[in-house]
Amino acid sequence: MKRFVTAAFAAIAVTAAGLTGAVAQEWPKAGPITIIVPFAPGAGNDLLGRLTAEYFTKRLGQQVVVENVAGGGSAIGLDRAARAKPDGYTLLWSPSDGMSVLPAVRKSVPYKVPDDFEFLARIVHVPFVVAVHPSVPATNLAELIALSKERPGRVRYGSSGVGGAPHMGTVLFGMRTGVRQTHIPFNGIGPALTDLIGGHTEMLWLTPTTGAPHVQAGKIRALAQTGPSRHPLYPDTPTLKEAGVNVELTVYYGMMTPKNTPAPILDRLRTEIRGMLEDPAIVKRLNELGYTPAYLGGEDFKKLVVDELNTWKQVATEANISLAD
Amino acid sequence: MGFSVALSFQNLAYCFIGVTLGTAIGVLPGIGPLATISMLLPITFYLDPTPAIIMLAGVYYGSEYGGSTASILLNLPGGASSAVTCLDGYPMSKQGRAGVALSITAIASFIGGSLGIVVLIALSPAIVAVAFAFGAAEYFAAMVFALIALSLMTGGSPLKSLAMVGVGLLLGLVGTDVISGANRYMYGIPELSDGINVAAVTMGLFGITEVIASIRNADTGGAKQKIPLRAMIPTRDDIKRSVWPTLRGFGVGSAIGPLPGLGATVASFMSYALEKRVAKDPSRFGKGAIEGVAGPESANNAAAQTAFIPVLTMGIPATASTAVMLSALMMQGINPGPRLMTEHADLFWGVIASFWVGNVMLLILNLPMIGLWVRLLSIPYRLLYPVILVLICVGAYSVKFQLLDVWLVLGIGALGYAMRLLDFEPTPMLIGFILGPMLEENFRRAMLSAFGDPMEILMRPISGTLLVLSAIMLLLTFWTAIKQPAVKPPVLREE
Amino acid sequence: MRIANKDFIGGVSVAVIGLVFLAGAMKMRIGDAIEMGPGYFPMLASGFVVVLGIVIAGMGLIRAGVRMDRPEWRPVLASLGSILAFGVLLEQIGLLPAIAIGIVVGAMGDPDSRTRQTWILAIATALLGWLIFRVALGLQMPGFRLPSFLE
Repeated sequence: MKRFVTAAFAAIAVTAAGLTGAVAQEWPKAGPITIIVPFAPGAGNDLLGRLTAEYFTKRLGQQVVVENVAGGGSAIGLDRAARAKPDGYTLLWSPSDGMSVLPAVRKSVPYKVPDDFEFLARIVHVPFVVAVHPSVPATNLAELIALSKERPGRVRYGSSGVGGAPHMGTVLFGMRTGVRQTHIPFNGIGPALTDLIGGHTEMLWLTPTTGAPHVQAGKIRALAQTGPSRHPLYPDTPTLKEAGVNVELTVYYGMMTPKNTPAPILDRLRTEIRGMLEDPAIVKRLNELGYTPAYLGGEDFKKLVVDELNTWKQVATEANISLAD
Repeated sequence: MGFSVALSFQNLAYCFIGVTLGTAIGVLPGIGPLATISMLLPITFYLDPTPAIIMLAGVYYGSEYGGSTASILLNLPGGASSAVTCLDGYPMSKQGRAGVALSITAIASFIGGSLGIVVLIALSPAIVAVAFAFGAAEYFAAMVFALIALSLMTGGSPLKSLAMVGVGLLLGLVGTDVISGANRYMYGIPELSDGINVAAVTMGLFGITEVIASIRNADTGGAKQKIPLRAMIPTRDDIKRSVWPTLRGFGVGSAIGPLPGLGATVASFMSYALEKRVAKDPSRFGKGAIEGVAGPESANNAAAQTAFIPVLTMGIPATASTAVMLSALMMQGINPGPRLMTEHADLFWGVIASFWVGNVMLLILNLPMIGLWVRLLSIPYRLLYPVILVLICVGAYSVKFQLLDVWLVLGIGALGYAMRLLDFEPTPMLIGFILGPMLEENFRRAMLSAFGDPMEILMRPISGTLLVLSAIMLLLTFWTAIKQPAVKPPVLREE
Repeated sequence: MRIANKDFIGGVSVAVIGLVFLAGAMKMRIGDAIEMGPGYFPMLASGFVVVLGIVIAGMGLIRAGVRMDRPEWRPVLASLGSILAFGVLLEQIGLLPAIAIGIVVGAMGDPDSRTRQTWILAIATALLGWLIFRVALGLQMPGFRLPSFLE
């Protein structure tokens, strides 16, 4: 019996060695490519990661799979990517949360921005919509600011999570307009939105697609949006800058690789990403999901990441937000 | 109009795939509907929105049917929402009545699910209004009510039950605090930031503990005896006993299902507690009372259906699984919201009709399977249990693809076995673990919302009423405890 | 009065768990009832558990409860060992061998297990598990891989 088992294992080992043996092949021939998505399947930008994986599979002639490494508000997935082999077989799909916001508000994260990554490109970005409950006596942003000044701390705002982009954005908004509001943190946008519609909180920053049906149905009122220009779903809602508040905020989504990934691989991937954003079918899908395609390659992307990180560090220090470990 | 959509060949086929897959993954421990729906998501890119959502929804409610199978046969819940089915389903199985338990489960699930759909159609607006009336204060009050109602529902010493609720509360604290963002009890392990996985707790407490305790005893127990086919058919008495629990379970399930975050698990626990409270002889519970199977199974299926109310009518997901389904719709260019019903009437009614068709399929699918499942018990336990152990491991790992969850199953299994040796019940611990975090979060949120004034929570009509009811319930429990001299606690499982 | 009774040992264990969590809570910011810090609720909950544990242990001493059963070491060690083996092996050498070895270790819990039968069971389950989880469900875990030190 023992001998049989040994033989069986030897046989399996040999077969496996044969399968993985041909290592010294040119990228991307040696094996499947993994895109790490730092969220649970179906959550956050998992969908975008899967769209990209599908496109890459077609273009690279190699299986590209999504690996969900969820947890820690995306910190665990980013850490995994940072420590992966820089051989072009591990890519990272990341939102600004983990890159630019989390390292600013947490005392420590296990990875270093920007040193641990090569920056492929920003792919899409999306603004927030500043929404209030219809019972709030403010039909424009100026009235909301006036109301918040009149009753300091009595205007309550929900958020999808403490230290997340919508929370930090609202804090920044408060700093620039000089108002004090009360933060009610939730675990995800669903419960925060229910609370807003129910009138238990007064204000919420949320993504355009999440808010649109409720704005149209009159369940919530959109007072402003945070992007550089108006989002197609909200042609009549002014941006913060138009309304006279000097805050511009979008959440970016882009791709990175571990530091020291060879330049030819990076170039090839950037070409593919650019091609993807010119594919009408993909662009249509992105638009349907409410994302605006916004290619920004290499060094420019890196600069954006670092600039935003510095902004949030400043906001976190000024507002005294530091999430303990 | 909905049925013409649902009964088209294509939609029937996708519905069938969905519910079959749902039942299958429901039976497997740990692997829940969430993972499966996410796997299927890329496939739905190539489908029309209606069949896509019909299939995904089928996986979701189908898994509630399958979840109880292993609870009854092996004391191994497919998910947290079928953990409570272990309490009486497994003893029934040991008495050679596994077939009856499974039949009643299928029927109660069908009735709960079907009536849940009726509620979904008829009462949606009213229920949505209630869901919106629930703010943090109301959730907090509901949690207090549930915790008091549930913590003493199993047999055994009340003190020990409370202690286990407490230990569950403590385990629930691990992870990032939602309100402050601080990391608690993580000891430098980042994978713990989203808390201890509920699947690991459920499988460790019920599955592993049971395996260890059964290895030596199972072959001498009821498991090995030949089961005649007749024993699978519920007797007239079984059915008579199950009617009201099924209906009450449906009521509980449809009330709790639409509330975001509560869902099927709390519904099944509440139903069990209710059945035990209204029973003429509560001491039968935990020893194979069929009411303890019918009620919770009807409840969790009703909840699985009514969980779609906030999704379909408001575009707000009540559970993680429904959130994924929402994103499937959004991928198709449909942004679900208050106007889905009018703007995409075909889709809306087609999907709802498909729920009912799916429930019929599940019943037809599950009843003949019972004979097969029961035969599983005739396999000698020494061949069965090693397979159960690795199934649990794979299930735990597959939740997030991290080894930490396997180690948690190991640790919690060991803890559960030790506590079992000391006569501490696992169920209160699971209850504390699930409800504890919601209790804390909502209390702190309610205090923030009320600007630090606790009276505000008490003065709101819904939360105030629930809190007063909780106080009355607590007093009643103490009163009966004082009036009756300590009864010898019923033995739950023969050892 | 017997120390080795279920209530006393159980009560002490519960109290110890509570104390561990209480110690952890004390390191967090506690805050007050109006503005609760992350440590407020943990402090209350672990305090509650400690008190209950002490009460249960005390009752155990007074009432001289039931003697504790001896754990069945063989099933305990084999079951926990099976999980341990699976966990150690899964990411090292893949799903197939992890399942097989997990089963072999687990089977040691029953003295009646027969070697041959166990190995057949192990290999069959490994193949079936690979088919279900890797092929049919497509879960992200390696089916079989060379241990990293051999690469």
